[in-house]
Amino acid sequence: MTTNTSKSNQYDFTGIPIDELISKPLTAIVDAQSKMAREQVKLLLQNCFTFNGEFYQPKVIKMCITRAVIEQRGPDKPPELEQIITFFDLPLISIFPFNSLGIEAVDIHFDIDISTQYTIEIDWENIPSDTDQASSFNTDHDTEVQMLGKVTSSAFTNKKKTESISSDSSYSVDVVAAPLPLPPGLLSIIDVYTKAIEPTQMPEIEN
Amino acid sequence: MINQQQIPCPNCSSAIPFEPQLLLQGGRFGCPTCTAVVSIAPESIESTKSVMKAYEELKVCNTQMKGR
Repeated sequence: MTTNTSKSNQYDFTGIPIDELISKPLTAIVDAQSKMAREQVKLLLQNCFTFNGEFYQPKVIKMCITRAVIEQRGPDKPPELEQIITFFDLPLISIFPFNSLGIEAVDIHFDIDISTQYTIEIDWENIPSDTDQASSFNTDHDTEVQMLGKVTSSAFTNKKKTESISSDSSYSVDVVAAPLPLPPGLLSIIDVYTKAIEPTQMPEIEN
Repeated sequence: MINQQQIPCPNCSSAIPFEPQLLLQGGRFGCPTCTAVVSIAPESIESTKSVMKAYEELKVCNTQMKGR
């Protein structure tokens, strides 16, 4: 009896769409992230800027800073510590924690149980006489049978014997993705605005 | 993710960490270097609160989107 194994590699995972299994959730996440970004830009333009028909101008809020200043009241008097309140304008965009409006991390985890199956071709002509009865079983059919699912016992089909080999294996994939930090453009805008914060000494009002 | 923001101190340019929500509630944040204290002017609180509310609503929508 000669036996030929048509598919000898029991752990050949070709045909399993691993790339699709990984990329589909990631694509969905990227879509969600882009939707969030669009809403974020909308919020930014509607609330933090005013459009004057030509360009966007940042909305500002009034802030105040209290600081201690040493004042010399007179040549004979000792210096005094005085609390000075200075008002300054701050762009509204500077106080928003925009980083929190995004997907922080993605963890995709899935397990696949893989069952492999292969066909053994048996040359029935050379089978010893004690198996002749088995060889006459279903001799009319000459089609190959593809077995789907798990087969617990062996089946005879014409000249071929299909066996289900216990070669299950588990395939585990862990994907962790995280978004990039804020885009440099937005960071630059915030940076320019925040660096421009300077107290302005207002002229004293004379009564 | 840390929500704490920073603004440069108008007095000495050091970074003053602040929390937007606390700032809107009238919180005052001190500069770690020059002890200057920064707060929001009362007249700007309401306008900032409305924007922050819109921002929080968007955040809730995004959290729901993430949960799907």
